[in-house]
Amino acid sequence: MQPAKNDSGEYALSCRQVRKSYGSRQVLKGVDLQVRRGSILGLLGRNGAGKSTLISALTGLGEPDSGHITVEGHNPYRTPSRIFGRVIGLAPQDLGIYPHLSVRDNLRGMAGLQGLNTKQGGKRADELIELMGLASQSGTAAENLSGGQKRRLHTAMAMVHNPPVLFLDEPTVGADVEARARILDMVRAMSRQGTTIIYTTHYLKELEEMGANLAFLIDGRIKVQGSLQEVLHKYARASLRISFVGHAPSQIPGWRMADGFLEPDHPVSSPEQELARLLQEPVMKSARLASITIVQPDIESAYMTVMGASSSAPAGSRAWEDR
Amino acid sequence: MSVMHFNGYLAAFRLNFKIELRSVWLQAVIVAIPLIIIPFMLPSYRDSLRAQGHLSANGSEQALPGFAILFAMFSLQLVLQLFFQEHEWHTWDRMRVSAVSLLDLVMAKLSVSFMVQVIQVALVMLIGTALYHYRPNGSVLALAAACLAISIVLTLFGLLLYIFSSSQNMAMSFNNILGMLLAGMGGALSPVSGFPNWAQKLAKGSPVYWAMDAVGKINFEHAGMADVWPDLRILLAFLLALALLATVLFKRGVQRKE
Repeated sequence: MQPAKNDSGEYALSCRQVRKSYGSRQVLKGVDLQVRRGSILGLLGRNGAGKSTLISALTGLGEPDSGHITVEGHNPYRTPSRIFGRVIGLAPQDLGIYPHLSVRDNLRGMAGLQGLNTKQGGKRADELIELMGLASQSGTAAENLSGGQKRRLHTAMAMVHNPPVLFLDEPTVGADVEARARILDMVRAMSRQGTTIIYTTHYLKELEEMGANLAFLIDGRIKVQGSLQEVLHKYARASLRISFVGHAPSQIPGWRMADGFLEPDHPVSSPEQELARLLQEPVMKSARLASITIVQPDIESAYMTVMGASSSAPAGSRAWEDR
Repeated sequence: MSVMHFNGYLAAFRLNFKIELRSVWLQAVIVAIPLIIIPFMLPSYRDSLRAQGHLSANGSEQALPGFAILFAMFSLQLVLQLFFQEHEWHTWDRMRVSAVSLLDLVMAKLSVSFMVQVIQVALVMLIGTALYHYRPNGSVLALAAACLAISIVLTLFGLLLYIFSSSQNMAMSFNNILGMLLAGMGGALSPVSGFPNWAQKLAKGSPVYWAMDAVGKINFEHAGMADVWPDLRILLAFLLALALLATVLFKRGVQRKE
């Protein structure tokens, strides 16, 4: 089944001023987000930032208190399941598989729920089993799979009906190297077919590998959104990591110790100049250097820059807004 | 119901049926245990029924339907499992975002549970009839109708237990306690006619009472469908009340588990 396209606009997903509270705790404070059809969006944020809450809201699982959401032109809360269910696929953060059913039965069962008939479901299940490298386990009960194999099955179940919009909430958590590679290959393949993918992860390199667009959910709002190149250009910073033989000098203004390394506590534009300044510090005279590493600007440094800025900026500050 | 709706329901039914097949041993135990217990109870039931004037009774008239219903209540854990496991396995959200409506999902689970209950009650009755010479003098069709009616009421009772309980353990405990209470109160363990007056009045609050009342008429009074219709009507009223309550409370009950 090919993804059904709604050509009413360039965005597959759009939300405006989405707010959601749990009791007195406001998790989403007015999220605005637009995702181009066929793109991969990496949704980033700290633990507890509200990424899963936002995904729940977008997939129709948790109606927001206010705001407006459309996915492929459909309001998740006003569209019948038999229509909206075919528009989206979801691999939630927690592993969701039927442990006593075989790999094939898990996929066929999900295909049936997504409206595929027995023949289509069987064919698609076999296709995904092959693509996910689970052919020799197809008759194995899911509970007997390894952690990585379970994760692959879990992700494949979201793709079984070739949805136009796919939500993957930390799909590679706990996955081994092979599982991660298979999952990323599948995501890329789905993206090439025109599927829009919303992807949350803490493994930033995955987003870099997939060339995803990025959106940073900070303090209940999307504070930064752009293509990977835009975000890297604007926020990625070089840094330094210095180790010492014996005791490291302490209390150097502008520097901090992290995991046994001395690092600048702020983004640096020129690591060489920063290093030269550091070596002028009186406490450095008696220090014995073991290693000096220049960290190149990459997605992780961009993440740290954005997050660091958000934690030092006053609540509600729009200083980092990029859209 | 449109074809799309029906296909969604069928797909959910098939999936739940496959899941249920994996615990078929549990249903086998629920069929076997009453059949093992019944011979221990037959002499006292026979004496009790004969003392009430049913001189040809052999005790199976009380034991067989009574234990079939009591164990049907225990098998409500199947309804509870089918719902709670979705939360335990984190598959509930998958179900909820699928192309199958919530109503179809719930109906599919209830249908699987109901079907298993009916098979279980039918097996206890059929095997018990062969083993313990159960010979009702009334209509077999009416007996089947009474068994079907109580099974569907119990299935909905299971749904309400799911709605009201925050965990599977809590629901199982409620099921065991309330199951024994409703079955005992309704005359599944001993004939209501032997209860004190106040308890006989209280017994009418249990749906089991109306099923056992119908069975009693079929056992000894040559009753047909028309004769047990008043009992079936009351079981239908229980059914509607439980369905209404479940409809009103379902969403809130599910949200508490998410």
